[in-house]
Amino acid sequence: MTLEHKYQVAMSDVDCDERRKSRVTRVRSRESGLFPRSHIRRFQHPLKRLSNAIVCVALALGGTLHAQQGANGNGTVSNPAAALFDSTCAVCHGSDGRGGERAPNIATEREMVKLSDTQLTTILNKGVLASGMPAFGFLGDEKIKHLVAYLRQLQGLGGSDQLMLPGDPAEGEKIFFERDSCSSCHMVHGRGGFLSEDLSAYAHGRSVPVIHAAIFHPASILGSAGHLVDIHTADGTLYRGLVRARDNFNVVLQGEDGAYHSIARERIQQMTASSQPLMPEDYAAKFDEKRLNDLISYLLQSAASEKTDPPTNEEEN
Amino acid sequence: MYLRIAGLLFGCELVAASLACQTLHEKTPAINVQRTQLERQGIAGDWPSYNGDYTGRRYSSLTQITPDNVKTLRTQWVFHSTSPGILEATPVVVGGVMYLTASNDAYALNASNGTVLWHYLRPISSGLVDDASGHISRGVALWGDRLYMETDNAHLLCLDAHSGRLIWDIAYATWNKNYGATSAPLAIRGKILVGTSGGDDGVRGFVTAFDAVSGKVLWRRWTIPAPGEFGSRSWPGESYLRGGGAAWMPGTYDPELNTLYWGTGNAAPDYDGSVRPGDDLYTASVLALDPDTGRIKWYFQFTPHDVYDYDSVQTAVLIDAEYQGQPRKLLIEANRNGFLYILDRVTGKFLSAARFAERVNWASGIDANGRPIYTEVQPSAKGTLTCPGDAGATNWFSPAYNETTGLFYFVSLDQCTINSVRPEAFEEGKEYYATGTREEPDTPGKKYLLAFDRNTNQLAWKYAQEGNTHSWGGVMTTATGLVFFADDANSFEAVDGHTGKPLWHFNTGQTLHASPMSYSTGLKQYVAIASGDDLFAFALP
Repeated sequence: MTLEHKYQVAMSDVDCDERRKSRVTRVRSRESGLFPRSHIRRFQHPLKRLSNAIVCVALALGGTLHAQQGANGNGTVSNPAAALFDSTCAVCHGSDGRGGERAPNIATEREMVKLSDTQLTTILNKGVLASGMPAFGFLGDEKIKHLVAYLRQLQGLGGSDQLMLPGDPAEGEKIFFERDSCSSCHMVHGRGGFLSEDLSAYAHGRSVPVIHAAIFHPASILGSAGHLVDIHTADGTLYRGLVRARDNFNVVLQGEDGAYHSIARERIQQMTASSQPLMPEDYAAKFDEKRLNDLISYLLQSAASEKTDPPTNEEEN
Repeated sequence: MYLRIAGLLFGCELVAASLACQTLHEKTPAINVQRTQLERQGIAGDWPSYNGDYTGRRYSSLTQITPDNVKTLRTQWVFHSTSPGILEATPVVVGGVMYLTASNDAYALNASNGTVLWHYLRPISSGLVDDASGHISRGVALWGDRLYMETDNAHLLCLDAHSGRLIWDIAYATWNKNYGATSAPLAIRGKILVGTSGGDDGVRGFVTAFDAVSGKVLWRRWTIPAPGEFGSRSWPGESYLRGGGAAWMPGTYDPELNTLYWGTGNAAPDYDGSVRPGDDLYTASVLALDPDTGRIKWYFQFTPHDVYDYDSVQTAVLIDAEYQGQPRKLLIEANRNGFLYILDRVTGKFLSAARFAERVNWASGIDANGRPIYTEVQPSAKGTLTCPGDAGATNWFSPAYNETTGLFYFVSLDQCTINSVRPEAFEEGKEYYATGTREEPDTPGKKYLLAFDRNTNQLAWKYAQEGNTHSWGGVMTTATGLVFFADDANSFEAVDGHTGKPLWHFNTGQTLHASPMSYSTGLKQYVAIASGDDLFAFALP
């Protein structure tokens, strides 16, 4: 399966960039005025938006911040290749490799992703002088090999044997499906629940610190999308679920059984979002470093295996 | 799900979320399509499979829309697809949710207003040949809480019907890149059945059954026999590997007889019969298959040694009715070759054939055994006028049968083409027609909506269509005796099923390439059809 074949589900995935975009949309919907203002506030408090923005900025600052947190004993992953990437590449390309002010996205840009290991090694050794990319040959073959491998990890590419995993993915799988039941809401490779995002390819192009932040500080990533919403209608019915679609006339909630309910706005007496996100917020307290690293490793490995061709049922003809 | 009592609310955010959500999958999912629903005849509110029910009748029991009030039918909503291919799908509807495919994408829509509930997005494939390169997908199958669809490059996808998330993805025809897929799968008794496209491109046709849960292949029924098997004398050397017979539309199913009826496409190469002597089994046939093993219970070949591109994938419609004084289990098929056939579907015995196409010159009739009486008309180096032409006297778009009127409805095309032959070698990545066709000069084709009376073995009425013959629209019928169909000049129409008199029409502004269906949600009956890149849903005011 090539990158072009990567599937997406429309109602998925929120990262910092998308949060910025979606904020614009929400402001616009408030301007439509069809929804009582007080409810809007409850739905997405402006202060919350501000705090989200701050976290997004913090995430953009990347590895340095997390390295400091790690030094404070906050359970951050220690990965020598990541540290090398942060000190060598992240300044220009961003800690997640998705580009900065001075250099392009090397994590998800197709032209970059499709380069071979040999081509990447050459670029690192010799630089691309015309574009301002310096030569890093002085690091030596070993470190350059680690950087290429780490970049592959950011790209979500390469077999799992090439991945630099911070922990044990097999343990992580148990955490995901059994111990902490991430799978009650999330799906990976067709196993798990439908309420929340499919995480099969989640780690693709995401660095370890970004995944770490998403697990420990879900509110910063999810915003209002991850909150259950209650809708009370005039006839006394209460609907509870996640908002899957909305326009000026209807709000569509999906309940826990998967049923969709399109509720006409004129029927809505009160609409309130739960203050807590569906995603538990206590993982930072519950998880030790090993558990976190194992879970992240499982997600990284899952994203890497997503790149392989689908199974076939080929037989002799 | 909605709950009136606060105490019963599910509270993932109130309790520790992971614990509360753990129980989710033990509950009955909202979408849960069961065997009983799929095997029921006389479908009403839901339209759970491609043809509505397994009989292929496209008959809705809904009665809200009648010949008296149909003139007030109006558009309720429109869905627009931005996928590269046009819409040829028949949507299915279960519990107020409509499922639709467009190229490799799948959508769940609120069936009462068209709101997109989820969208599974998958880019189209590159490097495909012929029909597959049109990125057509004719719809989905549902089983339990899962949705199944075929991709342009012949993968079977299993999605979670609640969210559109991919559960598994199996490439099922990888050994010859001329395979593709355009059909909706068929779900029966825990199995998902698929075929492929590519019958004009030198593939070896097959029907394959997958386990609906695991995706494991249960059986594969090749439509071209291997060396040594019955019928293999038509396929010298390795020609059986590219003999065509693609099974590119969903079959029909009789649960009582536990028999599938699956149509197969033309033989390949299309116009050069010299490399495949004899009847070319099992091309241009209907196969009665045992769904548990894939065994052929019987077969009936409509066009033995087909050199006219007369695929026989038109819906084999299953009817229980009196035939010449005896109650019979019948199979009715209006075939691309210009004749309408009635078979006994228990034994496969040929009962009758009637010519419905205005001009048929490849055969002078059908003999007592159901075999065509051939004329001299064959493709030639210079080209031979052949009727029906390569698009067939009818095609994959749906027919319909209404037991109230006792009539069988379908759209026909009166058109001939000049068919040429030039031997060529098979080459992967290229079509395998062994040359082609051109239009008959100065003689435009014409389409008709036909009503066939199986009692008299004649047409009850005929409604001639204005238009350019570019439409590929099907027919459905309802319990109030209405017949809905896509006409040849961009309009969706309703006619009186007894007389063919037009009662209502709506200009969709685009050429129709799809078959209609009907469903109800919120106490309202809808009729829906795709046209161009859009899907239209109609109801009474």
